[in-house]
Amino acid sequence: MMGIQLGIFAMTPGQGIMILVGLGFIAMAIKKEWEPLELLPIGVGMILANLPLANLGLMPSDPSVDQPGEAGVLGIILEWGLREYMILPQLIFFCIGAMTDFGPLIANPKSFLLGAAAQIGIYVAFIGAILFGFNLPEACSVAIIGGADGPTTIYTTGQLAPDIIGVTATAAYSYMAMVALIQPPIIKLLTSKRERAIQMKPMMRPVSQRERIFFAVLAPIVIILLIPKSGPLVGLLFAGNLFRESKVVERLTKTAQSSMVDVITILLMLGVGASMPATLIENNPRILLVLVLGLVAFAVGTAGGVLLGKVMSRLSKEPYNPMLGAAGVSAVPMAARVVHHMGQEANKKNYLLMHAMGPNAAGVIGSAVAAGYFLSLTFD
Amino acid sequence: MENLDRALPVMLNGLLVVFVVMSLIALLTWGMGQIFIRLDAKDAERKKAGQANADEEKARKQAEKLRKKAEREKAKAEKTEADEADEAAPKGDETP
Repeated sequence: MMGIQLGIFAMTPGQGIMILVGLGFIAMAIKKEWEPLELLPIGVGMILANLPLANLGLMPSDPSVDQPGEAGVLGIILEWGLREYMILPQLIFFCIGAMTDFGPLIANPKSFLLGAAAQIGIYVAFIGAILFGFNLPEACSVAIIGGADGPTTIYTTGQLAPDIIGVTATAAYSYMAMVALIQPPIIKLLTSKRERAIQMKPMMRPVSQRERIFFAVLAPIVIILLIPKSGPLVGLLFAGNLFRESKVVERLTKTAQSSMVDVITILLMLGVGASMPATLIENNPRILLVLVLGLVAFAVGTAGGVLLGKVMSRLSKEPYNPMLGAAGVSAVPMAARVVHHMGQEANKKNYLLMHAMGPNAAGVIGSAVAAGYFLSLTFD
Repeated sequence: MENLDRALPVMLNGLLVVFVVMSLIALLTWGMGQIFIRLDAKDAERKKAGQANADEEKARKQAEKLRKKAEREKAKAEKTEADEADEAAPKGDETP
């Protein structure tokens, strides 16, 4: 007798919950416009991968796949793009490089220190994860969420603990989307209104094209020689930046800044959404602690940056706004925007965006270095 | 607990690594900046000097042009004067 399998009867409570979470992401993207480029495709991927019997999230390596055609498109993106070859986070770093202006960082190299201080959250969350019973590779993957860098989180987790990639990636992107909610209370807690109102010199020194080119060549060589495992991220970041600064491949740079980054974002975010099957949480509810630890990492990273910013503000001869430290978490450019808006709230004449872009760009490098360090560790 | 014992050195080393690498890059970038500030200043000076030379050359050419023009005009005026004098002079075939 012929029968039809209705998905609705096959749905597990876990899948129902994940579909609701996916709908929540879509609502946040559309209603609140919180990072819609990321949250909308993540939500869609989450819903599609959790619809029972549709197998959209079925990976080619799944034991239930007998023929290649049985794997789902989201499963293929997830396995080849994120888990096995991790090509998507690396390629998106190339695009980020093509879009990033390192000028403010080159003009004010002190910002590198803020980019380092904001990585403190990573190491605090690492200890937290260990205390909550995660093993060392999992703890590294959870901790890297504190870098506030989605592609770095995916790349690190993909290598160290691919089974929890869905939760870490979703947490990283969700918190990046919520930077405007997470950072302001921490900044306000650690700074006075007088400090937030500090007005900085409007002009930074101009950085010539040849200096930018030199930086784009020298920085990755030095970093990769010191931390080789950061190479795939740092190397591609600066490759994209060299394309941008050389000004001889305008067409390629424009493609990296527009169509290429769009295509990769679609694939990457759909893959992230698809990496959250209900079974992940049903089999290991402890994994939800990742969300808490990620938030702690993010908050401590912001605090670390602001505290070093305060020290630098005291030591600096020229007016220096300590809030710039908060931009050291690498959520580009959201963290810089938060600092700028808070600066304007405290003092209407304050224009901190360009100053905040320095630590923000340093944060991208800092989180890639931290990831490279974790990936260099050997675990028994 | 065993994991925590292993985790503490990982954490401290990690912090150290990030700060050392970032400080090193900051130092290199600063040093590179100092070199490029000097190079750019030299370039600007050279450009300025080049511009001054070009301006001087232009002024010289302009002066030369004006001088030639004045000479031409002078020659033309002399010629016109001579022609007029010539015309005013009694013609040979009109001898009474």
